[in-house]
Amino acid sequence: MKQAASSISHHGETMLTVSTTRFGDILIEEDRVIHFPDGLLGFPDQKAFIIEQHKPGSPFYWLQSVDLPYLAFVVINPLLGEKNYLTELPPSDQAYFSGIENGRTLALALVTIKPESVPPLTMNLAGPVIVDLESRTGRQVVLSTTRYTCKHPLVL
Amino acid sequence: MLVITRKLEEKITIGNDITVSVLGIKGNHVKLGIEAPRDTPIYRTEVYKNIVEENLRAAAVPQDISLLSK
Repeated sequence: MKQAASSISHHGETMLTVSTTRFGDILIEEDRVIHFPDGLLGFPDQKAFIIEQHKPGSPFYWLQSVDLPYLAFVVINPLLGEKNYLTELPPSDQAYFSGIENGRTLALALVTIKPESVPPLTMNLAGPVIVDLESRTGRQVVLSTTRYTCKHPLVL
Repeated sequence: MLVITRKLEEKITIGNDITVSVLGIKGNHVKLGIEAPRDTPIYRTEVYKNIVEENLRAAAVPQDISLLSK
């Protein structure tokens, strides 16, 4: 199998080259990689991703697989599209987001783009991705509430 | 598929550390209690499947992503 990522040491910092279909080769610090021990649902073998902003100032980011060049998800802070998201959740689901206030936890919703659909942009609020920035680990959780679906209209 | 009949308040044990209890039966609703290690993910199957399918759709990002720039 072709190695999609290779690392070199540069000024004491280990740099990683991530090959991507959409963006070409991306050179980033190895400690910016986020590890997903369980992968994402449906992608159990994808255990490493990087997060890159779509464009400066854009609310959208890319969750790019380190090992599969063609696998990249558009993601967004779910609170930008649904301000009441956290307060509407039952306490057991809110617990996943407990580190958000102190900046330790990052919450991401995967965005689906279907230009022919109405609305063309939806985000998955039933299965958000939670990243612990201190340990650089992430996981996709399945909320217990049925208040939100995996096709929540995304209107910014 | 293994099929087991249980009465109210009876349990089954799966492996060494997972126990499923029948806590209540009301009409066609069955209330289950599951004891499992904290790191064992437990999903309602239809919700789990929905998210897997939505992840596959999200991974199919179209070539034209001008919608993201509006």
